[in-house]
Amino acid sequence: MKTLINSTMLAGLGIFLSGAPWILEALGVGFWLDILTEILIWSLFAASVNLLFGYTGLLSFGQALFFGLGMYGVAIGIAKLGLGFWPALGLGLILPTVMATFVGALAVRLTWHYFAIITLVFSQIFYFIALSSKPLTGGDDGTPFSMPPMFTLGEIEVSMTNFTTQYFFILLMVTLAFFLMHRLVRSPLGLALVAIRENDARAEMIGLNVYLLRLISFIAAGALAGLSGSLFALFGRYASATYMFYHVSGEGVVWTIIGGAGTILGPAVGTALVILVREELSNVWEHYQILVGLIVILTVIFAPRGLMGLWDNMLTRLDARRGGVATPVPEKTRNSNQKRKPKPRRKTVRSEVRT
Amino acid sequence: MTPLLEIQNLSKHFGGLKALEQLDMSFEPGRLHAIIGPNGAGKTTLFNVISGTLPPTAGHIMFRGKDITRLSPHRISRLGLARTLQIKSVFDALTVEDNVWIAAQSRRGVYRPFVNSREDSETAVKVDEVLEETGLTRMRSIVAGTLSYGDVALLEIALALATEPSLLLLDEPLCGMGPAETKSTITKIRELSERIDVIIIEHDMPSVFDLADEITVMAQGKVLAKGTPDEIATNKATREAYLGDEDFQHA
Repeated sequence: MKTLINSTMLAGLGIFLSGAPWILEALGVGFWLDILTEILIWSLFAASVNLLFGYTGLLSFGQALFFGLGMYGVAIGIAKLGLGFWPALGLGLILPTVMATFVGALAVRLTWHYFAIITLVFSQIFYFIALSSKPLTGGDDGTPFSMPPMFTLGEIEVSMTNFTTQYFFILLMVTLAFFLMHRLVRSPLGLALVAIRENDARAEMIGLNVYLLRLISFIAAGALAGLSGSLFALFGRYASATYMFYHVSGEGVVWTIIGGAGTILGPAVGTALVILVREELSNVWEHYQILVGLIVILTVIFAPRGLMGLWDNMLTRLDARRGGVATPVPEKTRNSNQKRKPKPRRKTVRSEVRT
Repeated sequence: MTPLLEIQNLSKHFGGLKALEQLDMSFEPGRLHAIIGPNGAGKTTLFNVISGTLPPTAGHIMFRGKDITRLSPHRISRLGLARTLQIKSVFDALTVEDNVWIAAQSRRGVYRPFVNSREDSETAVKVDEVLEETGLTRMRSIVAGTLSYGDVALLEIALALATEPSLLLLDEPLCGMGPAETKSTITKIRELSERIDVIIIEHDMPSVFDLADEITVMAQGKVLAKGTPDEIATNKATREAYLGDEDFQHA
């Protein structure tokens, strides 16, 4: 049942995303395509926070550094170095990945608040460097650029200046990245990261190189954040130091926590929710962030595994009610359940009626 | 014959506290060794230094003729030296099976980011084998954090075994177990010691004297005595160290 509902939801999401330009147009809200694209990009950014926090147990407040470097890689590549579309995108990936290797080599020696602080400090250092290197980065004004074509087929030039092309290119890249991350967390490597999250001392004792594994996770997360930054630069046709500010890192953490750290799609759900709240509410209520703050507080207290955790619990309970064989009941509670036999039976009937 | 484990002139100081002081020990392979001693004798510190969790202040540790002093714990683990902890520590949020799975898979290549870890049939076989051996098979889908203390102790042994060690250091494996569990665990440890070298720290004296081929007595970071259970039971220095300890008088 649980798998059925989840695959149905996922298929529905897939259909919506692959038809979004036409579906939104038909609904008369074509301008929402831009917001949807933005949600996709920021979801990927949240996924990078999630890989570190949700799967490796490292809370980073510096992911904006890699997002910003991805942006600058693309923008400087096109505007200053005269690179084409693909080389610029490549630069937008390599730059943050190299930076993540260096920062990570130092940062993953630390954990918890020390790790949070050192990542924050690194990102702030480079924020101020970017802000003051006016000839290279444009400082406050940022680096705007005009979009080079992706490729030309005879007469036809395929470019992100076409909004539908832009949407589908970003959708493709984001889907690919989420798929790779899905594979990663189910792999032996991903399982080893979870082991480190759960108990790093024990992980080391069973022969896992905790330092190296944390570093790999940090570099992979840097690459993910860099990709999202690159896509955001292409989407906005400019790069700016604003996106390297720690505020952006913090938002990634907030989205991840609301959606559910340690679940693949949780961060995407959190990102979508917060951006929708912002889009709908910021026009009528400038202090909409109070609501976001409230959601975070409620999530942390009542749903430590975020919205995806709530959803998962709900489905598990639903399965159990339907005569569940899913969860084996320990000996003690099994006896006490027998006394209340009529109650679960009635629920079973009701849920059958519902479906 | 190369000794299984050789401790040479090993010291570990915590500020002014000399937890281990110029310790010399040698363990022969093929025997079940026990280390006993009053609280604060330095037994667990010794295990911590051997397994690489703590760096020694001075001295050397040779494991089957290879110097393992100051190697990191994961490298020592990969050389075939596994340990359990006195304060039990497993992957609480994961199931018993996943706990053992992670440990078993650590020997079959961790750096594989794009294969499904569950399709690793070698690991699956090893996990079944270890769960069967430790008697945890019927608890395999239970979350480790909800296990009883005795079962966590068994899971610790299972984690260690999953890494296919040739030497197993057990730090108070019987602590917190009831009489029935103690009895079955002793039987298991004896079975294990037939194919793996075992060094055990234990406070339960009847069990130690029942299990061990050789006993080392430690006190204040030094070796007080070493010998067969019979020799230790009649040793004068040992009796003095344990003066008033009822457990010991029972033995």
